[in-house]
Amino acid sequence: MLVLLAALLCVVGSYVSIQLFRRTLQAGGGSRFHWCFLASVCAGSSIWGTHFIAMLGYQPGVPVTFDATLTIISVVIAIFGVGIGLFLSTLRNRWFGALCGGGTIGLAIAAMHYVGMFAYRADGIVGWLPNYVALSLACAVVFGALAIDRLRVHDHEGHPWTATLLLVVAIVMLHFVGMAAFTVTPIAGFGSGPQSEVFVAMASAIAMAALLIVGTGISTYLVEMRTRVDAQDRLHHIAMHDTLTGLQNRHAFNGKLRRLCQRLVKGGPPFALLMVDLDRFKPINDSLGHPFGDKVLKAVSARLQEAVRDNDMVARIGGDEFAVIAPGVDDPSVARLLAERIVEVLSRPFVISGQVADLGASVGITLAPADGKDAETLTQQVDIALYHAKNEGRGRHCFFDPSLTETLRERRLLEADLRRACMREEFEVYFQPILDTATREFAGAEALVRWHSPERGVVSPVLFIPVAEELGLVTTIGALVLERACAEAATWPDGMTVAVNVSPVQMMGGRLASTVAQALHKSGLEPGRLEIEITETALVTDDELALRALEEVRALGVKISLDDFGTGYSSLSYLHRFPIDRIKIDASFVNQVPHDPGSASIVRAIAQLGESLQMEVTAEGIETDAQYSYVAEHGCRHMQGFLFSRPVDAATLARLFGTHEKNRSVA
Amino acid sequence: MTVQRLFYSSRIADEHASRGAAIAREIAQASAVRNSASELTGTLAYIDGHFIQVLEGNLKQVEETFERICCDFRHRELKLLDYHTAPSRLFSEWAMASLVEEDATIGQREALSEVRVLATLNAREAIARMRQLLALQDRAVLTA
Ligand SMILES: Cc1cc2nc3c(=O)[nH]c(=O)nc-3n(C[C@H](O)[C@H](O)[C@H](O)COP(=O)(O)O)c2cc1C
Repeated sequence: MLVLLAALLCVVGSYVSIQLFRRTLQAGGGSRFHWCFLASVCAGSSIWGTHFIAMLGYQPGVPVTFDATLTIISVVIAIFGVGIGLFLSTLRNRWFGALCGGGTIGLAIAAMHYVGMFAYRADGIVGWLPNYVALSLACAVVFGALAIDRLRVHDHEGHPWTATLLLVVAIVMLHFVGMAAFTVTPIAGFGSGPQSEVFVAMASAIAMAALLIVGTGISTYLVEMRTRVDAQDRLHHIAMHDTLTGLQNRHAFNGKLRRLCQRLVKGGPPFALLMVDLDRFKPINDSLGHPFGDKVLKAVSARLQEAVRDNDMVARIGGDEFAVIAPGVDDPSVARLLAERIVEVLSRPFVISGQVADLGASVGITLAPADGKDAETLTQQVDIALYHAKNEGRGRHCFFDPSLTETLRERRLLEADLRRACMREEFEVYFQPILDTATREFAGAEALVRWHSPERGVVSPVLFIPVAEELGLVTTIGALVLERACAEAATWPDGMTVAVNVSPVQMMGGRLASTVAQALHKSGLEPGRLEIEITETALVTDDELALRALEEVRALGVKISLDDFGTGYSSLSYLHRFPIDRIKIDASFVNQVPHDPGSASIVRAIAQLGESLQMEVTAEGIETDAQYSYVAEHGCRHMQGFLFSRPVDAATLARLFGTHEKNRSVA
Repeated sequence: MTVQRLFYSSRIADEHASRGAAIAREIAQASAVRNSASELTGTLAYIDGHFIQVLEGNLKQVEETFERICCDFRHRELKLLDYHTAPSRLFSEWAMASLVEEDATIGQREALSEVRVLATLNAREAIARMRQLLALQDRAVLTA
């Protein structure tokens, strides 16, 4: 009965002690000391309890008493011994740590045992067998050391059972071998004592106390572990998730992609990688404010999760960029369906806080392992595919295809060349003269930019301006053109105007007025001779900002003309709202007159509009005499086109302006 | 108390087109239940494979419900036609009335097709017509 109780205490005590030993070894700094204290109190008292209960159960056949002082000393030895052993166990060297630490713990168990035995007063002749004593010491040291060694190399989450077992063996061996070394011979005349009942009560009390200590130890450990795990989980969650949307972040996405690719090598399942980019997020964020933008992003995330399948991963990997990993997908039609759902659901309006935002999304797709097997390749490919989806007009998806790489390479080269061109100022300003039909003389010219690339030759603005806008280089180029055009115009005869195109990006940049002022100042050109040409697209994106920019420019005394009129949105409303001095009829209409009645009526309507709003009207793209007469007849005063002159360089223009007036053959 | 009124159109998803009318009735019924809980009112028309819906109520409820509708893949090509603040409800008697072409009389059908054309051109007028249709329908039920 008492042996069973001792065995129970031994096993439970060892289990908990090993757990606490482990925690002590893991802990650092001050908390190691606290764990060491808890572990040694727990281990010491359970080892001592085991020993004491076993001794109570031991029946030497003679009356027995215990020496109180020595018994208490034996407990203290157990606790301190284990404590010192544990500290030594933390030594860096593996063998040293195990031997010194584990050995000390073994010796502590032994010392506790033998001191306990001295406290054990049997009324008989007590004898000791030295061989057994030596053997018990050896066992305790060896098993103690082995237990610590096992514990130190144990590196996974589960309980270190081997170490626990070794500790139990150390305790048990010591006790039994130690008891084999102990002999008591009864002295005749002294009967065996009737203390067994008292002993059972005492043993129970000790076991209770020891188990309470052990229990305290384990619950402290568990409470601490729970909070630690919680904290770790929380940290892990924060590290892997985007705080705004709650989606997984780039970090988590990269990890998942890498894991899937690793599995792919070992024949793991295929998957599709989709990259989603929001089409009109930035202007919405800028004009309606960041808090609104944040709400939109949250709604976007929720919709994305609705669009994908349950075990697909959606991650936010950039401001307005999302990635989807769809495991198990190798069929392009399944990937297409997924992409279509994403494009569809994000094309729907977002109605938030009384405001409406229209976004739309472009999606790039690549399939693993069909297109690629490693994370880097796949990410590159999906970016290329996404890039194409955007270039093809947004609001669509595009699969990766090797031929796309070539197109992208060319584009990158163009970008690099353009960057270099900006530094080397490889741009030249050309001028197309504008004719005044009333006086039949030149009234000025429109400045046009050309790129003289040493590698590419002359590059048309149609090709490089969109790229320059995307790269943000257009502001630099625009300023350069403005400055040169003003400088040139200052040399022209009095009254000749110069018109300079301004890109929407430049206009919304907030520095247009100061750039213009600077160009005027440097050249000394009269402000009234400069005209800024803008397009309707600049007005639709953010009309508040546009209005402010235009009013600033106008305040300098510079005129504003609206280019490509008639090709954009509901053009009329802009004419009323913005400070516009001139409208330019787009060449696409002028080209069709007089034979196309539709274009003819548009040209007429615009000319009338100009008259009624008191704006000047210029017709662009005049190529034939018939066009000239028709347009002139219907009230357009100014014209430009190949009929009068192609765009020419500054020197040619100067010659034209200096000599031309009287001998033009036109009209 | 002003209300927000939202008006949109959409097309039934191809995979559901064969039982469009049944789906429209189901949606209107289920929506009526949900909408009464959130004090929303309105009507759902289903004409020639297209949904046209008016939703009215307080801003939060309208927007939340519309966001759910925007996550629904039973329809496609969702276009917001109008979203404005109105002095009062037009459809206060209906948590979600249904105007399904297949359930309508010939006269109503014609009116419904007109609503469909009007919806993109003149949203307010289209909403007013839908309201009229419901009023007539109720009178018809009463006199029957
Ligand atoms: C055309 C159409 C109109 C709908 N109108 C409503 C509506 O008025 N109220 C509503 O609660 N759900 C409406 N729904 C259903 C929602 O889209 C959604 O399925 C429903 O609210 C259940 O959402 P849950 O599954 O996220 O809970 C409509 C769906 C469609 C396709």
